[in-house]
Order: sequence, then C-alpha cells, then structure tokens
Amino acid sequence: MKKLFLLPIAAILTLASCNTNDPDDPNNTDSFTNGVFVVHEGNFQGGNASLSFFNKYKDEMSNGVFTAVNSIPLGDVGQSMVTLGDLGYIVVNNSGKVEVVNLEDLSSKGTITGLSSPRYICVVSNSVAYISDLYSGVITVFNPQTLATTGTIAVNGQVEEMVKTSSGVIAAGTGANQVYKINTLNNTLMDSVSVGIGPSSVVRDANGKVWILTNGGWGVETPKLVCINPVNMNIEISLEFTLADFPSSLKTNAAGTALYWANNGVFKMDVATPAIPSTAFLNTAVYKVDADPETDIIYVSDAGDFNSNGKVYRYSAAGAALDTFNVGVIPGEFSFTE
Amino acid sequence: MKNIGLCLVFVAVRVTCFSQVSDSLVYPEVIVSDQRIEEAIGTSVSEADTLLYKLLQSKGLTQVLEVESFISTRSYNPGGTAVFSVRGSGPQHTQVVWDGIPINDPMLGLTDLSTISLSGISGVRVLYGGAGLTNNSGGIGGTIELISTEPRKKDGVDVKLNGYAGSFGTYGVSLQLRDRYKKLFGSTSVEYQTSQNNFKFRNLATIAKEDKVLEHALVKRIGFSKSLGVNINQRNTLSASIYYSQVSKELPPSMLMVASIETLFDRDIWASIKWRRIGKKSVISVTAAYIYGNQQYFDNNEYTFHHLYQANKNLVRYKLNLGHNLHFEAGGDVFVENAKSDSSYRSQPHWRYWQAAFASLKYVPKKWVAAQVLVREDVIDGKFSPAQGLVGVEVKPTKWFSIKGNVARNFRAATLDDLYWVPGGNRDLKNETGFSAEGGIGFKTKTKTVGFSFDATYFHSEIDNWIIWLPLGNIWTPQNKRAVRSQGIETKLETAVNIGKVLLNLNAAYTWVSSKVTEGASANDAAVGHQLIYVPLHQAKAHFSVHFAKAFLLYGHQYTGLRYTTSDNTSSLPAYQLGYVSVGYEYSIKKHTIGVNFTVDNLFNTDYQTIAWRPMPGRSFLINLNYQFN
Repeated sequence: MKKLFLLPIAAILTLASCNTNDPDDPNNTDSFTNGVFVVHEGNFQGGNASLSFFNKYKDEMSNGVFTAVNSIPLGDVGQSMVTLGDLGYIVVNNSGKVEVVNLEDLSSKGTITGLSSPRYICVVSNSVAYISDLYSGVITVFNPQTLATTGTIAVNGQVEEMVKTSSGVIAAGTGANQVYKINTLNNTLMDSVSVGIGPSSVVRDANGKVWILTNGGWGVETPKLVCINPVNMNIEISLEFTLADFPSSLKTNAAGTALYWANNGVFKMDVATPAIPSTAFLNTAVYKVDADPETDIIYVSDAGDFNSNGKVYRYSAAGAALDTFNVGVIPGEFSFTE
Repeated sequence: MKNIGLCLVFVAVRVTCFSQVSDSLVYPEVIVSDQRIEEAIGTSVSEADTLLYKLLQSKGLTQVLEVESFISTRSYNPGGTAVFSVRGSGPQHTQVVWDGIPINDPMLGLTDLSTISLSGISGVRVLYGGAGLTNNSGGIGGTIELISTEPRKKDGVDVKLNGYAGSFGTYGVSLQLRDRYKKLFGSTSVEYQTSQNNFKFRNLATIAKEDKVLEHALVKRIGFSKSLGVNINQRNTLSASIYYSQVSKELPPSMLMVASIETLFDRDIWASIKWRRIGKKSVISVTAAYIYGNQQYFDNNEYTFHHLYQANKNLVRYKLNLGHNLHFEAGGDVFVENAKSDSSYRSQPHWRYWQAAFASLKYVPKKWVAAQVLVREDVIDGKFSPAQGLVGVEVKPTKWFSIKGNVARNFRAATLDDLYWVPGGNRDLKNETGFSAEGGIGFKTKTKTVGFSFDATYFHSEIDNWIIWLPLGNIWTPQNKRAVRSQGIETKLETAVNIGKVLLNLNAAYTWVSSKVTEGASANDAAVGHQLIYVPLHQAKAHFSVHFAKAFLLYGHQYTGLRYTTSDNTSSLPAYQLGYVSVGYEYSIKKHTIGVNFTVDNLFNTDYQTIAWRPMPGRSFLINLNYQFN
C-alpha cells in the first residue's frame, strides 16, 4: 500500500520529462528562455492574475505557467514583466509585490514585497533596477541579483512606465503631469518637463529620442504624443489626438523606427514622418500591443469582456494575421525574453 | 359596514411563525397593511422567521437574508461590503425599500447590505419577481422590504434591551423603546455594534498554506431610528420617522495582498412624513421622504473618493373598494435624485427627475380564486420607460391545495454612474427590460398538533439590454450589450409538530437557479451560454428547532453550490456547507422577561469563501442576553 503514495510522484516526474501537445501544460516547453510572456491582469481584487508563455521554437502558448510550476496563484493584478539574464521579474500590482522567477524552469527565485502599488520595472544595470508605483510617492531602487531594496527616489505622485536612455531614465509621472529624468549614477531626480496631462507610456526610438503618450486626464484635454530629447529634455514634437481618442500602450517596432499604440485598433506611425494616422493599422479588438524586438511580429492582446479568458493575436510586421491563441483573464503586457 | 374603515386599518397579513411563501387567499374587502407592501397576487414572498430574525438581527441584514430567503449573498468579510442575487439577477436588479420607499443608491443602483443597521427594523421580507410592482419599479429580480418597528397597539411603554458578545472581538448592544399614550405613539431604537473580525484562516495563496490572522477588518456600526405618530381622529393618522445608520469599515486585504490601509465610511439617513386617511371604502396615504447617502473611501492621500447622494421621494397611494369583489388601487411617485462625487463625476452634481404612476384592479369573486391586473409607467428625465404590468392569479380549489402564477414586465433604469461617470458615462443608454413568468403550487394542512406546508415555484425571466461596462477603445463605458435568461425552481417545506409541551419545527428550502447570458457583447463573447458569476446553481437551507416551555434548541444547515468567478465559467469557487446551532431560554416575571441564547456558527469549522480569495471565519461563538419589559 505504501507504494501507492509514490504513484502521484512518479506521474509528476513522467509528465515533467515528456512533451505534450496540451497548450495548458507548462511542461511542454524546454525552458522559458526563448519566447514571449503574456502577463494577465486578472480582475481587480479577483486574484486571478496569471502568466502565459509563448514558446517561439514550438509556436505554442502555455497558460497558467507560474501557478503550474510554483503551486500558488500569481496574485492580484499582474501588471508587467521584464527579464534580465536568467531571471524574470513579474510585477503584481494589487499584491504589492514583484515575483522573481528562474527562466530555466520558472521556479520562484524570490519575492520583492513591501511595495505599495507597483507598476513597471526599468533595468538600469545588472545591479540596479527601478520599480515605479502609483501611490507610494517613490520609485523603488533594488538590486535585481540579490532582490534587496537599496533605496528610493522621491517623486510627486503616480509614476507609470520608464525607459532607459544614454543620459538617464525617463519616467512618466502621471500623477504630477511631469516627465522625470533620473540620474542613474546616484539615483536622484535631475530634471523634469511638462508635456501634457497624464503622461503614462514611454518608449525610446531608433534615434535615441523618447516618445511619451499622455492620456489627457481621460477627457480633460486632448491626449498627446510627444517626442523629447532626453539629453536636454526639450520637447521636439507634440502631436495631438482628439478628445474622442483614448490612446494607450505605446511601443516601438524592433528597429525603433515606428511606433504602435492601441486606440480602438492598433495604430502605427513612422517616427521619421510624425503625424497621427487617421486610420488604424490593424482593425482589431485590442487591449495592449507590442512588437517582438527580434522578429518584429506584432502581439495584440484582446481582453474580451474583461471577465473571461482572452485572446492573443499575432500579426506580421506588414499587418498580416498569423495566428490566435486562447490565454487567461485580461491579457495585458508582453515581455520578450532576451 | 360602519366599521369597515376601522377594519381596513387592522386587517393585515401577518406572518408569525414561519418564513413562508405567501399563499394567503383570505382576502378581506381591502387589505391595508400599515407598513408593508401588499404584494401582487400570484407572486411569491418570503419573510424572516421570527426566531431566526431575533437570533440573526445582531449579525446584520446579510446574515438574515442568507439564512432566510432564496437569495444568494456574498461579502468580502463578515460585516464587509455585501451584495446579493435574487432569482439569478444582478444586485442592481433588486430594489430595497424602507416602509415602501426605494432606498437604492442611485449612483450604483444597488444597496450594500452591510451598510444597513437593523435598529428600528422589525422584519425583512423578500418579494420575488414582479411581486413588488405594486409599489416600485426596478425590481426585476425582486424587492427587499425593510419593515420598521410597528407602533404599540395599547397605551403604555415596552422596552427591549439586547447585549451580545462573541468571537473575533464582536460585541454590541441595542435598545428599543415603544410607547403609546392615547392618540400619540412612537418608538426609538439605537444600536452599536463592533467586530474586529480578526479570525484565523488558511492562506491558500501561499506555498505553505499557513494559518494567518485577518488584519485590518474592523467594522463599527451605529444605528438610530425614531418614529412619532398621532391618530388625529378615527380616520386620519400622521406619522414621521427618521433612520440613521453609520458604518465604518476597515477593508482587509485579500489572501493575495500583503496588507491594506483602505477604509470605507458609509452614512445613510432616511426620513419620512406620512399622512393616511381611511375612508368608508377607501384608503389614501401620502408620503414625503428624504434619502441621504454618503460614502467616503480612504486609501492614502493620493486616492480617496467621496460620494454623496440625496433624494426627495414623494409617494401617493389610493385604495378603493369598488364592491362586487373588485378592488382598485392607484399610485404615483415623484422623485428627485441628486448625486455628487469628486472621483466619479469630478465634483459635477447630477440630477434626475423621476415620476411614475400605476393602477391595479383586483377581482376576488370567491374565496378560492383571486386575480389582479396592474399597469405602470415611469417617466425619467422626461423619457417614458417601457410599459410595465402584471397579471396574476391564485386558485385554491381545496383547503389544502393552491395554484398561483403571474406574468410581469418590468424595467431597470441606468444608474447615475452609468450615465455620468467621467470618463465613459453613456447618456444614450437604454433601460433594461425584464419579462418574467412564474407558476407555483402549494400544499398546506393543519391539525391541532401538526402543521405542514410545501410550496414549489418555477420562474422564468428574460432581461434584455443588460448594461455591461466594456472598454470602448481604452475607456470603459456602459453599453446595452447583453441579454440574460434566468429560470429556476424554489421549493420550501415547513412543518410543525406539537407533542405535549414540545414543539418541533422543521423548515427546509431548495433553490435551483440557471442564469445564463443569451446574447453576447460581441460575436466572440465567451460569456454566452454560461452561468452568471457568483450565482450558485444549487442552494439548500434547513433548520430544525425544538421548543419546550421557554427553551429552544435550533440547528441550521446551509449548502451553497459551486459559483463561477469568470463569465466563461472557467474558474469557480467550490461548494460549501455550513452548520450552526443555537440554544436559548427565556424567564418571565410579570412584565419582565430575561432571555439568553448561545450560538455556534460554522459548527464544522469549514474553510469557505463567498468572494474569491476573501476568507470567511471558521467556528465562532456568540452569547446574547436580552431583557424585555411589556
């Protein structure tokens, strides 16, 4: 009879050692080092955030991979993810934490806790990374190797996305309607510029310029797409949407020569010819959009009714539909392994 | 016939012993219930059992409804924000009324059950489906009626004092005083309750599944109510009431959150002045009410909100005995609602003007049959609502058997949040429309020592233009995108047996509710064909009690089936069962009565959740001491 207890263990070992075609089986990937993570927000306070992984070798999507490997739910509101070397950093907003996983097998490396409402991570170096936050009034500095918090950078109000440039980190200070520039040598604020109400999304283009998307305060003013020079923080281009527009999820293509964003469809603009296009590049339901920095394939998440499993659509850089995958509840940001 | 007017006053359908599905077919010439809604013929009503209501009153309205009705409730924690579903509908599809006055928050369109103090509330009824159309619209699922403490019938004073203490830092005290002197009557009630809710639970979100104590879950409730009245003469009565409730809540973290610093403060004030005149063959009542709601949410300095709504609600009701077994009733409502919110509406105030009129005709040619036709129309901000109405029939061919049924059409108006939320409010929203039908049978028999009743009801409802918030581009906005079909069966068994000085009671109920999306928000809407979230397919409740002299022993048991947490039904909460036991004794000397009862909740220490990742308490104890002076 005692051997019966060994059966489940043997079954797990067997499953772990073979590949299946079940997309929900996380063990059908050799590792998590070559693919695309889909971070699912799940419902606010619903506790159903999750992580999917698209294996580029196999063209397979595996859902619920974090929970399958670690036997715990990811948390409440999966916000974003970055990878650095062999580690992945998953920001779980309403759980106030960052789950850190080994990309080889997705096992837990540790958890950064004590955060208020974390949103995004910007890796500065192998030993320094920043975590933005909605409510804490600080950007948290931590060591991505030891996971130890090493300091904070005081800011005024909410901060969303950040991007590293050669002259510092540019952060979208949504709460104060400011775009901050952070000195990465001493982790202090060194400059700021006002580009409009609600700067939230930032990217760096092929020319080293930073593009910022504002939300206009959700109806207070027209949203803007602004290009600044990160060296002197001067505004070089400012394009206005209309009050009926609510653009979000600003990203670049692989080369950094084109911008994508979501606005009731996916829009595309070449940075060399800056003008807000009047028609969508991809007429599709979209919640978040991103482009693979390696293949230029466009990934689009569709959250459906925001209370059921969503979908991820893939398009070629030219806009041709490639395939569709069923994923978890409220698929949001994508994270591409290096 | 001269005294018919007086008869009208005192004839009222009263439920004394059991919660029950209404099956009364004994219709007096005109039924006038002083404070209760007179439900439509052919519909279903349940009312909290007197004993259970007494036991559960200190635990709040959520517990009363959970145990004593076909309603499915869910809350974030004991005493925490709680909503409910009646007949598979959403929480916004049920109107909560206080002495007939609708009190739903016009911003959210619902009532958070946890904000209501039962101080000054002597009973709770649930009117299912179209039963409440005789009083209000909007109750597509049903109407929950809060009934104020009734005035004394005779001159004098009576007092009820109640104090209790229990597990997890729970204690409270309540006092009720009623008095009458000749033509003057009144009542006063106060309540204070607090609970730390610092119970231990198993944290399923951690690898070790370790035990943890719930933190930041303190709830404090203060309730006060006062009513005054005067019988001006035999025919005219003037009364005024005010109700005040204040609830401060710490909002605890879910199992997936490390901590929480959020708090929520609710304050509700309801006040009314009512004049009623009883004529020879008619009754008219005029009510003017003021409704106030204030909600303040605190997280930190960056994110707080403050909601405030006020409403002036005026209701006129007229009943006339036409003779020839015909009874006519008509009514009209004039409401003015105003809401302001610094976050939802960016401090911009919004107003809504609401008028309604209805007329009803009852035909009761013989005692074994009754029928009713009702029509109603509401006008909101100058726009006519869908026509509403009800046709109901009850037939009682024998003393022990009855059949009933009704068809009804109802609607629900968009909430002020739906219309004016910034950004995303949609002023072009249509009203939701609901069509419902139900049919039921009842068996009832009674001897000197045995009482037995069994009721079974099948209901079916269709809600079109269901309002759902969806992103339009990147802005969430409400849209009339879905249709929902609900159907189900409600059964209830009630038995009472007298064996010498021992009385045995057994009440049991079972509910099956299928509530599915029939039209999706888009061609690929994954919710289509699936059960609505948090609506259990199966629910069963039973309690058995033994009464000997002035002592009782009660055991109750509840089963709540699996509940889906995502609209495509891919995630769910498991079914759970709860048992509770209570024992009590009362001792009387002349006009003084002292009672004590002891209750164990969640007897089997079941781990369960009514909302995902929100732990509920394990086994808990409550001792209750009460004193009455009559």
